[in-house]
Amino acid sequence: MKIVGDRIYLKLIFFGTALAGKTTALEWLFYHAIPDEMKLVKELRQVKTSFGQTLLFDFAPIEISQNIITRMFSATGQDYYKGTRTKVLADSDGIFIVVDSQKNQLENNRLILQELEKCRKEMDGLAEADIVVMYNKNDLDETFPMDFLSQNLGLKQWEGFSTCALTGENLEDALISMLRKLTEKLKVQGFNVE
Amino acid sequence: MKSIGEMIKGMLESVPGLIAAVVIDSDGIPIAMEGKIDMEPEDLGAMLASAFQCYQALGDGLGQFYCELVTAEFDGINVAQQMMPRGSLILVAEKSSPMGVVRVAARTGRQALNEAMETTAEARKRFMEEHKLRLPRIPGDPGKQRPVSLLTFLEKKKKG
Repeated sequence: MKIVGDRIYLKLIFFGTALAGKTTALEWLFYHAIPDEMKLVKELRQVKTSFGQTLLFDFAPIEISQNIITRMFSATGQDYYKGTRTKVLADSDGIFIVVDSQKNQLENNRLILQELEKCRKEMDGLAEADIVVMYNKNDLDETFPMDFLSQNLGLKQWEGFSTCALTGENLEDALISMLRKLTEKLKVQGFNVE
Repeated sequence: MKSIGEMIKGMLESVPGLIAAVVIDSDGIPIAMEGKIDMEPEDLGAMLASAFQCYQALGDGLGQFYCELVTAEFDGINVAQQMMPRGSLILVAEKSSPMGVVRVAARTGRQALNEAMETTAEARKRFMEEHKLRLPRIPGDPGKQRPVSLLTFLEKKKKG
């Protein structure tokens, strides 16, 4: 959290393996769930490769309440860019872990969660960031159920939602969960938040 | 025709104070690297591509068409990153090396490297094109009144 002038800035990250649906989830929320009046930009700011995948991040600044700006980023999932991926995590207040529920992605999920855990230990303040898990791609056939994944990947301590980023299923619930956590945290710190 | 590696090696030998020269493609894939840099080429390429794309995005926001050159002055070295049509040329120089000289070397190098870079296009495309995601966009309703907070808005929406 950063306070600049009379505004509070929060940072939310979508973090997960390549092609887990981070950008799609952020795009769906930005274009379908968040009222235009709260968007500080008309379009997502995206730093993409020349072929359309996320190079550094996708970025959406939202005024979630009066004078409270949430900067939403989706970090790149491509291992090729992992040198920059962790940089995006710095100073995060909330992290959406986007798990690719497909059976053939279990090991990739495990590896990127190890990377996140390492960052949470090593990066200042990251361990205090709130976490909500999106078990994504629940529309596909060859997937593990949410309960299995939360147990197997060691994610049981965090609230999770079975999501489909393409259709938006349960994405709003996940966002509500995160906003409640952030609002509570701001209240504890003495900020008058609705 | 000289290879890209030979070209940047020639730059190192002819420009005083240069300690390394790197060519990356527009997605950060290292194409050639000469000189001394204590960093993995892939990490270096990703960092440089990200940084350059950030400046390009900044330029877009400022109404500019493209970013030509980014320079960075660190405590021990100077860095110039020159845009090329399919990537960028990065020159790393000693701190004592005049930035103007490095800048001129980067601009001159760009011209020589342009043609050679053409041949890397297909390799980059194969590497990247399997990862694409697209979602049709639905415009919002500009006539809606602003809700008090996003949380309240979403909770009310959920309750119907």
